[in-house]
Parts: sequence; C-alpha cells; structure tokens
Amino acid sequence: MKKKLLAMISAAVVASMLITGCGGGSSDSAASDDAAAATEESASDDASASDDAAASDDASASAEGAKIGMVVNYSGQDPYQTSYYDTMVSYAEEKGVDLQILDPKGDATTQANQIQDLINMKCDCIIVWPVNGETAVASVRAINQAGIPCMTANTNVAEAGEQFIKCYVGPSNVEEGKETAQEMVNQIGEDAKIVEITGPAGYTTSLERTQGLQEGIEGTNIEILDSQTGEGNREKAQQVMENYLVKYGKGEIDAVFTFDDNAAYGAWNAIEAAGRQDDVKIFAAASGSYSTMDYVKEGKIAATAMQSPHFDAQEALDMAVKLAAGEEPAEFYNYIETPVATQENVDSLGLEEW
Amino acid sequence: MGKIKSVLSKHTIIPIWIVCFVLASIFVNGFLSVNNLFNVFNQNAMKGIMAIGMTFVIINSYFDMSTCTLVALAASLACGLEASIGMIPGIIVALLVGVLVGCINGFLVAYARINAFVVTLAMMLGCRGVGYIYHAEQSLIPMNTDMGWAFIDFGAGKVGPLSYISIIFIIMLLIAHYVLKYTTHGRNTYAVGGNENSAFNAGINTKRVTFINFVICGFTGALGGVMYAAFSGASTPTLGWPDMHMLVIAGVVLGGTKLTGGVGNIWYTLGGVMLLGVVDNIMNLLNVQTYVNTLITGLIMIGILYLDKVMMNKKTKKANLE
Amino acid sequence: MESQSNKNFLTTLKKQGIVLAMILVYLVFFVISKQFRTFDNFILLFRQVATIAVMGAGMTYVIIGGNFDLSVGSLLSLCCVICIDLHDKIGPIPAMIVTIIVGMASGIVSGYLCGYLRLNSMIVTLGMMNVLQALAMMYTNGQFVQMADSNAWFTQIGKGSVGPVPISTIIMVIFIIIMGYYLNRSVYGHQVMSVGGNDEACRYSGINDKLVILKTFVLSGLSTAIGAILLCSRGASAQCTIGESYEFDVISGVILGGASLNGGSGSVYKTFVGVMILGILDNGFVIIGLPYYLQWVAQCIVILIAVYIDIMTKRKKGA
Repeated sequence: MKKKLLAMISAAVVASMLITGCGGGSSDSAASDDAAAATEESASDDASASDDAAASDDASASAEGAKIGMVVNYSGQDPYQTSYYDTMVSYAEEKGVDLQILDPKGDATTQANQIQDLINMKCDCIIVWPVNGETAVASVRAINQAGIPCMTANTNVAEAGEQFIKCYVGPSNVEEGKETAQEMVNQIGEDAKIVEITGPAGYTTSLERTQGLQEGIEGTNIEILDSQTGEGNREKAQQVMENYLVKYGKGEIDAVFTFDDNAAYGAWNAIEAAGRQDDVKIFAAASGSYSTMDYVKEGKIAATAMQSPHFDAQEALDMAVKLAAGEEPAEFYNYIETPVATQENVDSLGLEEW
Repeated sequence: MGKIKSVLSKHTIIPIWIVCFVLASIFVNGFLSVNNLFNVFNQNAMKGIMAIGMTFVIINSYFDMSTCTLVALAASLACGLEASIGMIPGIIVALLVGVLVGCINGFLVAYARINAFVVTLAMMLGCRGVGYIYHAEQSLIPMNTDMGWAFIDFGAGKVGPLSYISIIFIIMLLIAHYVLKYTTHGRNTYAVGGNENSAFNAGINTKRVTFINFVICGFTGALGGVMYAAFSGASTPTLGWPDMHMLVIAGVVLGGTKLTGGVGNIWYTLGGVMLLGVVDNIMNLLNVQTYVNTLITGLIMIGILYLDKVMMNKKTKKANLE
Repeated sequence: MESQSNKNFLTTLKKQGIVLAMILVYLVFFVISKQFRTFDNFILLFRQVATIAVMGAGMTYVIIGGNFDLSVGSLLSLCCVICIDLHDKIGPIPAMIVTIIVGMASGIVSGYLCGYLRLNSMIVTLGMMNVLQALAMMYTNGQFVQMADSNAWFTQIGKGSVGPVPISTIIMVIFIIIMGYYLNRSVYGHQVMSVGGNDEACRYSGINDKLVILKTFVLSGLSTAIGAILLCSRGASAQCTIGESYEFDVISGVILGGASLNGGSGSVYKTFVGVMILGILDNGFVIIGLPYYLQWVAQCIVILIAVYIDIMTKRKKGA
C-alpha cells in the first residue's frame, strides 16, 4: 500500500512539473486555471490571436497563418537580446504570424539541434541568429536542403554558408566598430594609445567589431596596447579595466574601446573609482540599450553606435514574412541603421525610444 | 509478475522513463511521433558517445571535467588539419590528442595521486587555452575540398531514420557493454570503484585500471568532439563551454550510476542521457520562454533524482526485510 | 635558540605547502612586473578576490560535509539583482536583509534535498543552478537593474576604503576569521568534519547528520549573499548573468586550498589561500599582458604545480 502511495506521489511530482511547463507557455496570452487543458489552449490561443491581429492590420494579409521558425542566440543574457526576443514575440502576434522561437542559450550545438526541431515542425521560413557564424553553415545547408527558405538575422553566417540563405537582415558589426573607431580618431587624435575590452571569447560579433576597430584606425598612429575579454559581463569588464588602470599610469592611455555599452559601464565604474575621468575616454563599439543615451549625454561614454533591438527584430520578421510568402529579397545584405551618438549630436539624432 | 517488479525496482531508470514518456505523450503535442523520437536520439548521440567514457571513469569513482573543452580541441583539430594533412589523418590526430589528454589525466590521478577534480579542472583550462591558440580566435570550416563536404555529409547523413553518428553511438555502446561486463578490465573497474583498498589487496593493479579508464574517457571525449564537428560542419573554440561535462555527468548519474563508484552500467547511461534529451525536446516543442525553460529543466532534474530516490528506498527497505 | 625557532618555522611552512605555493606565485609576478609591485595593485588584488573568498568560506563547509554546491553562481546573480533592485525601493538595510534571507532560503532548499532526502548534491545543485538562474531572469526580465544614485552610501561597501584598506577587504577578513574559528573551535565544526568523514558512523554516534548537512548549505547560501552585497555594491548595478561560472572559481579555490572532495577535511583559511592564488594569477596575467588563451594554459600549469607542491610537502611530513 505504502509503495503504491509513494509511486503515486512521485508521479504527481513529475506531472505537476510538466503541467507548470505547459502553463508557463501560455501564461503571457491566457491564464488558464485548468492545467490539463493548458497545452491545447496555448495552441488555439495563437490562432485566435492571429485572427484578431489580422483584422486590425490589413497590410499583413499574406502574413496570416505563416509559420515562421527562429533560433536566437541567448535571450536573457543581456538587455539587447531580451528586448529583441520580446519584440519578436509581440510583433509576430501583432502581425498574426505563428512564430516558433527557440533559444539555445548561447550554445552552438544546441542551436543545431533546435534547427533540426524547426525543420521537423515544417516551418514556412526559418530565421537563424547564429551563435557562431561558422558552425551555422551546416545548419543553414540542412534548412536549404529541406527546401525551406532561410535567412540570418543580427549576426551573419560565414561566407561559405551564404549560398544557402536568401538574405541577411541586421546591423553590420564591422561597420559599427569602424564608425565608432573613426569618431574616436576624431576625438583623441591620430597619435594615441588605447586599450580594448572585447566581448565573449570566440563570439563572432565581438570578432567583427574588433575588425571594425582595426579598419577604423588604419593609417593612423593609434596603438592598441592591450586587449582582454570582458566575457560579456559588466563586473568582469570592470575588473579588466581596473587592472589596466593599475598597469598604465596617468597619461599613458587615452581611451578604452569596448565591445558594447555593458562593458563600457563596467569600464566607467573602474575609471570613476580611480578618478581618471578626464584621462581616459570610453568608446563603445555599439549600444543596444536606450538608456546608454544618458551616459553619452553626460559625457561618460564619448561615442557609440546606437543599435535598436526593436528595429532589428521588426525588420527581420518583415523580411521573413515576405520569404514565407515566396517573395525574393531585393538585396542580399539588409543593414539596419546604426547612427553613431556623441555628446554633441545625441539630442539631434531623433532616435525613437525603445 | 514478481520478476518484472524486481527488475523495475532494481533499474529505477526504467519506471522513470515510463512515467516521463507517458506524461510527455499526453501533454506535449508532437512529442509522440516516430520522427521526433528518432530526432531526439540522433541529437543526443554525440553527448552519449562522451558519456560512455565518462561512465567508465565514474564507475571508477572519479569524474572528468576536462571533457568540456577537449570536445572543442578535438573538433578544431579535425576541421583545421583537413587543409594540411587531409581529413582522415586530421581525425586520427584529433583522437590521438584525446587519448593523450586522457593519459595525462590518468597519469596524474592514478600515479601522481593528485585529486582528480583538480587535475581534470586544470586540464580543462589547458585544453581550452590550446584550443583557442590553435584557432587563433577564429572558427574553422573543413569545406574547401570534396573531402570536407563528405565529412559534413557524414554528419548529416542517415540510414533510414538513424543518423550515421547514432550508429557509431550504438556500436560504441555495444563495445562498452562488452568491455564492462565480459572483460577483466571491466570487472576490475567495478572492484576498484567499489573499494580501492580491497581491490588492491586482491591483487588488482588499481593504478593501471584507473589510468586506462581516463584514457577511454579522453578517447570518447575526442570522438564526441569529432562527431560534433561533423554534425555542425565547423568547429568553434566555444564548443562545449561552459557546462558540457556537467550535462554528461548529470546524464550518467541520472541513469543510476553512482558517483561514489562501483555501481552502474552502460544502459543506465543511455537512459540518463536520453532522458535529459527528452526534457530538452519537450521544452522546445512547448516553445516556452527561455526562463521558463531553464526553470522547468532544473525542477525536472531534481524531480527525477527524487523519483529515483523514492524507488531506491523501496528497494533497500525490501532488502532489509528479507 | 635561534636555529630552533628557524626549524619550527620550516616545519610550519612544510605543513602549509599551499601557502608556500602562493608566496612563490606572488614572487614570480613581483619579479617580472613593475606594475604588479605597486601598492595600488596589492590593494586591488584584495578588492577583487573579496567576493570569491567570502563565497569560498561557505563552500568549504559544504565540501567538508562531503557535498558540492554548484548553485552558488546563479544564487550570486539572484542576490545581486534583488539587492540592487530593492535598494531604491525599501532602503539599503532592508534590501541587504532580504538578500541574506534569499541566500539562506536557497541554502535551506538545497540542504533539505541533499541532507534530508539524501539526493546527490551534484545533480541537485545543478538543478538549483538552473532554477535560480531562471528566477534571476524572471525578476529582471533580462534587463539591467541599476540604482538611481550611484554614489549612495551603500556603494561605499564595495568602493570605499578606510585609510588604504578597502571596506570590502575588512568585511572579507572578519567573515573568514569568524567562519574559520567556527569550523575549528565549535562543536558544529567538528560535527561537519566527522559527518563528511564518515556519516554512517556519525548517525550511530548520535549526531543529527541531516541537520549538519543542511546547515552547511545554509552557510554557503549566507556567504554567497554577503559576497553578492560586496560585488553589486561596487558597480551599483547588476545583470541577471553576473554570477555566471563563479561556482568554478569558488570550488577550484576550495579544492586548491586542500579540502578533500570526499569530505572530512579542509580549512577556511587555506581556502582563502587557494582563492588568493587564483586571484593573483588572474590579476598578474592581465598586468603582464598575456592573451587570455595563454592565461588558461598558464593557469593549468600553475594549478597543477601548486597542488603538487602541497602534496609533496605533506608526504615529507608523513615520512
């Protein structure tokens, strides 16, 4: 008797977990008390939501019912990716698209697995945000072989894989790094010494922005004294900056070039604590957070390319809807605008808040 | 009937599987299809290959953290050497490097008697560093030649619903089963893991047994890496980082192999790894948000462990009564 | 007389092989790099290890008790975001209290699962790691949390100093001394040692081993919460992945400090030495400008040598 009881309890434990899993999926659209019905409901929910949206939005007539799959990189890791993810979901709802969005949490092999899952779900179009440009090549090839139109967003696949995709929508990371670097040359002159804080080791975006930096300072006498990874973490970036500041005394470095605004905040904390605000300027290759504008306004960050996650996500989904309807893209590279903000032009940029 | 019951309570992974499987089939749309189930198997074959070596080490009462970055090192060697010495020699070199790392681990643990955790942790950092140096921060693709494409085709290729990688996994499982069950080395592994002193007193060369097990683990880790390279068609230095080894160890332990050593078999590992794979797959099919996914995965891990405990308690109680 | 004390000094040194290793590592950098020698850098070193050292003190208990706690990294993230977020809402002192309660509550959950239900701690805390990470993400919705006033007195905990000594270092030292004293001198400390050594025998001798294990996890949670306060007060901001992979640094420090992974032995002070070695390596390599991938290889070698020195000195002592 007791054994049976135990078995039942344990079965209930797992059951309740699975049910919470289902409930969680539908919680943003509908809160259902009846847990057992939750899964079916979440499936029908999407359909009903799409009806509502389609009625209000006549422009997306062809979008209705399109099943679009997407793998992102790692939403939740930083605000940019989280906003991107949230925008993607809400914009899809608005347009009445059945969006299957999966998150490999920054793991290239999980991403490959999830792309397999998406192919099996028979999507009309698959958007890939590669964790790594090279490892995605085999995956986009598999999508291509399954006869599903595929595009990359935010980060492009390596050149060898470009033959398998229809187009790329997103920022040009090299361009961002280059433009910010050129602005840096304007501000600190051609004979300067800088240090660099890069993004997560091996992350394609980080490598591309570093490439941009190098292109931007080409032909000048600017010297990169040191380059260490901030691991995409503000505290680590702060630690690296602290070490730099100890290593290079007053007047020995003119600026720090960071991978993104997050690392720039960390660098600012270190520089402020050392009281060297006037000595070392901060340049962030790109910023995904709207509040960074305040930092630029206050002069804490000297210049940065502003990159809107909303704009980025919406452009990508618009393109995916077109592809799902069988249209061919006009351009292969569809770069979104990423204006460089400085203290002078920050008020006149006219960026829509996100 | 009684026999079935005793089998079930001895191998707790079986009833756990049944419970999970039934619940998933009822509550998750699209889970119960032949296509999806084979998909889960194919996806987790690489992890399974690595778990095979890990099983040997865990039965031997140690564990190997270096698998995490050895994967990336092996994958990059397989891809990168293709240009200079060709695909097949490149793969052989990658596997040899795996064996070498296993030898270093095994030597330091078994002969120099340094704590296995520290040794394999240090090797984890070492492999990571060497991997990045070799990569020079870039990713590598083996696709400039026909052989490179053949390599990728191998990774994507299938016989019926089973991928080539899965077939290698199954073959490896059978070999491992044979080694553990029918060879002296296998029996010695259980003995050393159960109680090293008495194994030593019984005349077993405990050091050599431990050494060999680490070498096996290094080999399967590298093989897993090569398979990953074939599967994703490229290698990146971040492959496997930061928690591949934890997932592999979790798979082995959830299957029922004990971290304290001496208990376990290769089919437990198969069950455990695939169980984690199914949990992943369910989360993807449900299409839940990232944090819900993370939360539920964590809860299910603990839940499965609890289920296992409840069933084990039943078994030990019964044993006490008898 | 003098040679006598000299001899005593040498025997102590031999017992403390890991301290010897730390001094060696420090001296190597000291000789190589001019910037490393500066007083500023010496202070910086202590500031940077504060969080990991505090967390290591709690982890030492868990590992001596024969368990693992892999969840501390995620718990650190959760505590940081809660502390920063609540600072502006309910004031600094209540925020810190809530943070500590959250840390200890998480410890109670892991401790209950590992101590009372006797589940494998590695998998339980791996599960908890996921759960806590998810909670941190849910709490912040993936965004940064930031204090309105980045110069409030709360930030002085992480940034400020008394004379040349950082406040975080003072807190760290006091905490480590208390934890070390508690482990070496209290009844509970001895119970942890014996439970880790042989919990079967302990149960028969009347020690409530379940409670002892539970408490080790609570101490780990407590020290993680304090570590979180030290960490987040430096930057006056936090993100939900702030503590990612801290658990490895912490556990490596503890093991490097000589705590046995099978439980039963270890010392809070030696853990601090272990953490310091890792801290010196981190700081020193950046100062001499080694690329990070070479840093990993170098860390690999230094860790192995350090442990080897430790083992050799112990063996000599035994012989």
